[in-house]
Amino acid sequence: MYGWRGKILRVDLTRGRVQEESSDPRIAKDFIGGRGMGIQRLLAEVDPNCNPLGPENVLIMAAGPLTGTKAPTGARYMVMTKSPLTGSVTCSNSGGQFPAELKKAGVDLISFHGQAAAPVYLWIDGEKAELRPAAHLWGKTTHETDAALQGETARGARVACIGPAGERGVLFASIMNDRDRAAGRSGVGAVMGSKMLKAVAVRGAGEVPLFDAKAFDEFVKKLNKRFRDNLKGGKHPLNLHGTAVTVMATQNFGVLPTRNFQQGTFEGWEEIHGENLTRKYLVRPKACFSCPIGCGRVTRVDDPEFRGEGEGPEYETVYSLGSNCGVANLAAVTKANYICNEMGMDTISMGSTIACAMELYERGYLPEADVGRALRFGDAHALVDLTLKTAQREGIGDLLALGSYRLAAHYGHPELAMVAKKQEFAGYDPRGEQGMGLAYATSPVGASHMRGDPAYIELLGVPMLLDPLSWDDKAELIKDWQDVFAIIDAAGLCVFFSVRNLVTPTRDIRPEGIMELLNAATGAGYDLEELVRAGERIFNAERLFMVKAGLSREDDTLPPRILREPLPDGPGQGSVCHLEEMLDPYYQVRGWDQNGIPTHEKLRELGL
Amino acid sequence: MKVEVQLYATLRKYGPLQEGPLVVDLTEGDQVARVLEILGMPPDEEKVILVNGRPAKWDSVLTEGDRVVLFPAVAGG
Repeated sequence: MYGWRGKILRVDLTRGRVQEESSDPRIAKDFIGGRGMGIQRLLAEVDPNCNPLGPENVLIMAAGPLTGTKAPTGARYMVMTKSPLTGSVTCSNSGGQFPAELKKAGVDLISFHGQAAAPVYLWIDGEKAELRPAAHLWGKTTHETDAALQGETARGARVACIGPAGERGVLFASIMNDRDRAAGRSGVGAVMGSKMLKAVAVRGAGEVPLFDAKAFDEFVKKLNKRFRDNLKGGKHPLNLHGTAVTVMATQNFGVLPTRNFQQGTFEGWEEIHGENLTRKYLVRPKACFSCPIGCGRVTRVDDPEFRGEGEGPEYETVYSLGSNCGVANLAAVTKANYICNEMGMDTISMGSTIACAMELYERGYLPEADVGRALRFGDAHALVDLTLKTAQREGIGDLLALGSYRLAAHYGHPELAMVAKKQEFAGYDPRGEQGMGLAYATSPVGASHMRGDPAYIELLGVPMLLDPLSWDDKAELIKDWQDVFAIIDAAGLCVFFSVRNLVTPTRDIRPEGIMELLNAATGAGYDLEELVRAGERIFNAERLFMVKAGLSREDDTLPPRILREPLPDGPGQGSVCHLEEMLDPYYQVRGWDQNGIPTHEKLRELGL
Repeated sequence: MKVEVQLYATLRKYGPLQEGPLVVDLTEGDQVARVLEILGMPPDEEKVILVNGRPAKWDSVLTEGDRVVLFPAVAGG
């Protein structure tokens, strides 16, 4: 096979065996790769009603056909499993170097089954793959684990691993790769920890073979040239200031979640803005494999109270740990980010869980005795302290480790958790951005900005501008946008490059650039209709898993604050999210019934 | 009439070197395009235009005291 390597590793952790399987070319074409091949396998192998932290759950790491190629941003992979946070399917995406190395080692997908009796790691050295004992790594941070594995496998080996948070079952533990890149969401790290799998280390050999290398190289050159020409000798904004530059957009649109979504603007926004990060703590930007943008941030904080070095923060982090906790202190936010990276936790869920705790405290529902300190919005020291306590599951940290929904429910106020399907919101208030509400609510993985990010449509006008406050024109475009994102993820590309350079900026959002790359790489001969259909197939397959896990329309909802409490400030002042009005038209364009369940006709049409 | 203009990130180069908003003098009936012209911003520069926090276009008509925000069309993270 070309583009795809044709090899799947099936790792039976219970028996300590690694088996090689060949991928089925028909499945590869129908599901593209990565996120698509992952959900195909998950549906085939996992009982959606299983205990997500039990041996019957399966953890999948899957790269796309363009991962590890020179396709711009061909750096991504997807981790898929049943989530312990949401009880639904999850797919958490990451870039860096590890995914490309996996492809160079000839592997498209790894599925981990069962549960090891003692900690292990998987070492893939070119053609060979073996499980090795990892008791000596258990308890180590992600950075320590990365360094130790470089020492005992091979220098330059690429590592994906969990930190102490994943080992201790923090329900939003991440899987970190290349030290600071995160498959962050939905507790994929907790599933890895439950399997006693500490890490995967890989060293590749050779390149990813391409079907038509000449056509591929020419098209890549053209794409890179067009990208450079558009910059007119300047820098890309995401390279200049990182993704935290997004604060300028969300603050000005009034959708920057502040104090657990009690406000849509933050008086301290300039402190957490990407421009301030550049000025204060940026050491250098950093790019993932084959990426012409380079939005990553290598940073260092010298402030004696919050000293540290590492990578980040990203936009989602400065929202969750910053404005959402009312913390206008970028040093503290960055420090808490470093702790999340080293302990292996999702910064979004961490920050939003602390924000929820702060509101519970301020309203008198969470007693001071339970925290051992006052816990007001804006307390930078509490932010850092509780982040560490959560990773260690110490004191109140043991409850915070369960995420905001379970925390708020414990204190009798689940309505104060800003979640969809028990997963914390991304950094956009759906009252000032109606389509975002629809995307959060209908995402099979719970609230996410990666399931058809409507910020492109409602804030940036890509592929076309729809008023952020309107709700009667959102359903169809968001459905199409969700499907295009599935194609991008499955191919192994990054959204940042793809939506602007590989998809037509027109209402019909044709993924022509992705098709050209896929066809030159794989020789699969996709036509546009097949490719668009594959995106829809992937989204519906995820929905199918969700439905089989017992979730449906009543779970496609948002907290009462978002549906009934008008936004008090900013341009969206007075708005609530009109989710109910968007949901029926959305189900209709999806071909789902009134309960949000894909119809038999739709499933047949998609070959599911 | 006067309107306030705020530029961010890569678009700051079209404004004054120091931080803070810029006040632009316009004539009654002027559109956003007039602001871009005064700033010397080429029409093909990719950007988001907000007037008083609401999405606007190059031909949106401005009035006294409006707040125009211009930033590069990027978001994510």
